[in-house]
Amino acid sequence: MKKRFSSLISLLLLLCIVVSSLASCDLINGLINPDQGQGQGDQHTHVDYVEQVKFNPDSDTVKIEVDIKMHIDGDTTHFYVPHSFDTNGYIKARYLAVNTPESTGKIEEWGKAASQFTEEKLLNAHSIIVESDNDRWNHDGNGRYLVWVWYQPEEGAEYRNLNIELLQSGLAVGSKAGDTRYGDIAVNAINQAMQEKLYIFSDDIDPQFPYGEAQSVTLKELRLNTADYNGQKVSVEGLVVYNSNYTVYIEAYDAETDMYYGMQVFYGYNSSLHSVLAQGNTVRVVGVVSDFHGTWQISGLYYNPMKPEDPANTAKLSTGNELPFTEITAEKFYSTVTLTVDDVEKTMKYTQAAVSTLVAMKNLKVIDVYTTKTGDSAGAMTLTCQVDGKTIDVRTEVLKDATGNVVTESYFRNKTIDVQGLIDYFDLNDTGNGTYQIKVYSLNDVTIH
Amino acid sequence: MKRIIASILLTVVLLTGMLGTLTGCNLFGPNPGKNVDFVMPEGGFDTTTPVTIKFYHSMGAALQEILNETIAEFNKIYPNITVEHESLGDYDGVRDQIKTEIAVGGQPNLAYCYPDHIALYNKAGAVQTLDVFISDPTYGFTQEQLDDFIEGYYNEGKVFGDGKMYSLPLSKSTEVLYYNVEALVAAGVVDAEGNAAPPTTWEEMEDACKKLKAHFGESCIPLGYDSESNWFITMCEQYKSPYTSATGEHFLFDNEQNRSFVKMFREWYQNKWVTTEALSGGYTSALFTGETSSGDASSTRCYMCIGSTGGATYQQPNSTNGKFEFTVGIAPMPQVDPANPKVISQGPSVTIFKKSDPQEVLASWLFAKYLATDVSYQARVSMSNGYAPVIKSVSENTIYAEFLASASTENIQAYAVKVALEQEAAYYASPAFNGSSVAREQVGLLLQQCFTLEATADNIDAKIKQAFEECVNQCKYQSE
Repeated sequence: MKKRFSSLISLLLLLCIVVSSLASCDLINGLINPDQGQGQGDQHTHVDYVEQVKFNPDSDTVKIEVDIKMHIDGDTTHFYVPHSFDTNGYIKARYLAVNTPESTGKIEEWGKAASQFTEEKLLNAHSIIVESDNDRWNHDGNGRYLVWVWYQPEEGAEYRNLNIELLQSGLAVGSKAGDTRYGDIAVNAINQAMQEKLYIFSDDIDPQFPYGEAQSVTLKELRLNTADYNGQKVSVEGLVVYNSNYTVYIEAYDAETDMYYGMQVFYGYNSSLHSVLAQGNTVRVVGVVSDFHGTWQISGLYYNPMKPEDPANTAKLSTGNELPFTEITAEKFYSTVTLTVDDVEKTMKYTQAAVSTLVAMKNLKVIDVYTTKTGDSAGAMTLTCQVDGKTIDVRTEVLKDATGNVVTESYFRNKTIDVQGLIDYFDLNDTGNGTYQIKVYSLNDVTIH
Repeated sequence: MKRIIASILLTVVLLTGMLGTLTGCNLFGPNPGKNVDFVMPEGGFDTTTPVTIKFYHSMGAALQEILNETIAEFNKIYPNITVEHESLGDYDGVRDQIKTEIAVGGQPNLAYCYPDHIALYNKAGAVQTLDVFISDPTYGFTQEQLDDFIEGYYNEGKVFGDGKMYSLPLSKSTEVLYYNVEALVAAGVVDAEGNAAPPTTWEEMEDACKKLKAHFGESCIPLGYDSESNWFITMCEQYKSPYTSATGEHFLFDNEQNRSFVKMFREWYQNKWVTTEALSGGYTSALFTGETSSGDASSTRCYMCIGSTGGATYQQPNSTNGKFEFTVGIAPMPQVDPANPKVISQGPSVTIFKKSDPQEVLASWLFAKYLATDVSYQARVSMSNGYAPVIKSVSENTIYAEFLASASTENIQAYAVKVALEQEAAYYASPAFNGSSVAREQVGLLLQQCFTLEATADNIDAKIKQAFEECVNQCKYQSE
């Protein structure tokens, strides 16, 4: 009996040694943690984490049903809300836990794909609800609401969590994902997307990303055929006519058509480029053509300050050039032009061809003034003017007088003015049916009779 | 017979246990993820056999472009090393992914990191110490290279209580004082010549706040300070007062000195002399630039802002054709003792993980060393994002010197970097241990809580003391 008991104890002790040794082994780890990082070659079963996370209308978070005001990109949307909720009547929403590649100011691989994914889901949704991460609305440092976005694909369907769906699809990386309400699911979704090598985590070529060298084009060619260059990397030369808050406008003259052609350029938050892209400089801009809410622009600039002589680089070519204001009449403003480009005739509105170029117009009678009350443009004005029997809108930035005080409607109402500014395209709700106006940036651009 | 069978079984089981213990269970062949200490391979780095290393970071498109071009240059020296890199969103994303991968030995070769991350990874013993490489006569740093590092940045790699080096600095930011030059002049915060005189001490800051408040009225909150955590920790350093320790008792910040400065700044907050990101509901840079202002006199404005050099462009006011709404000055942040200045340093370092293949680990070191010491890479990153380079010799590069010389409101990134480099002797690094990130978060919340406490003159000290005690308890609880 004693011998049998001793043998049993010995066997049990030995078993303990074996198990504790194997516990340091992946074999056991894999059994205990099947979701964690299975290696290459392991069997993988796809898990639909979007199905796992359920919308709970009775949870302690705050929620509100919303409509889309403006799609921005993969992880940011502006939503309409009641004025009682936010006096602006809309909120800027930044999606919790996710970071999609850039597709506006900067262009990154899969940025457009992520943006299109989000836009398609929300535009086709029957209902959209935004939810906070805890019992109150939280904001990021830029004042945007930090939200989970739930959408109902069709009436009666379950709400789906768009944030998790972006992660599961491989169209976003995590952004403090683990520290959120649905953090465990978010992290699992990211890990699975990495394992499945989806989009961001794949070696695939993004068909919408401009790999390779920039195409050298004239501003005329670019302006008259912009859609053909959408998403392409281009190199253009022109004169900087306006620089305002990391956006510049460049234009160049074409003798053949006796017109200036211009383009908006957004150079992101790189203050080193201020001196390169200063007003009055001729420049070479190397970047990607994109459609920013109905306005074509070049963004995602390539700039290597260590190689200023590199012809593939954004660079300053000369300084101190005069600004060419083309004096036009209201009739010209509303005219159409027929332009020959590469032996092909194109007829278009004059303003469409001359957008983003400098013009001057005289003797406009201000008959109405509208001041933007809320949002980023609060204080900017639209002057509705009459000249030669036609209506011309002059849009201002927030203007300040010599003492720094904001200029208000009474300054312009019923006055006759001369203006100089940029032909600008305006499309409030991104309808594709916007209008053209003259944009002025400072009080110096307006002369009151 | 039974005894023989039992003996055989016993022998097999014993051998299994020994093998499993010694090798971490290599039952199914080599496990490349296991945490093996580096041993210099015989013959050193093999330049003929291809080796692939994986680098996790949080770089955006612009920095990745620079990284890709740098890798191409690196490959001219080491053509057999393939660098695969992946951006994982932000620092927490990198940390969370690595935390998951370490559990199964699948971590990358190198990664962006903060000291707190290394403390976490080292719970699994996953991080390769760098001393063996640094001192190597073939692959290590020369004395000239060591002397070239900005000391405060370099020392961040050894804050773990054991004197060993766990990371190399890559790109650093700090906090500086941004100020509205015209506003300071208008309010009389000036020197003898009438030029704007940004405060150099906290006493001067108090005086400046009073003058700005008196001049601009109720709509003025003179000072914005975004990071409550940084503020608390930096004040501990400036007062030479305990904050945390990597060894022994970790959470040391509940002491009379710290409670005293928190009480002082609470009064400032109550006087509406200062606000923070959390308390104002957004970055205080927006109050400084007037971005959130409707333009009328009632909009809240700050005229000084203590913020990161990495966020310099957010401190830049609106401009039209090179004309800015006001002139921005940048100065070192105020000090308790100007003769012994202390400012925080932040920004990514790079750490290397243990692998069973020493060629992978050595290749990782060679790449990390290249990033930390290549003048072109350091200069380009700095000029792209406004972070400071980690080596001094970058400032001697002609193009980079021109960049620094362009320091102004217009090139505010250059201005911020220039001030950051001028205060290189003031950098400190806090101890890193399992719980240091909790401490950081909690002291930031503590500051917010103390600023907004409902209290009277009679009970404020007791309430602050209680808040500190609860904070320490929370740190201990969350670190278990």
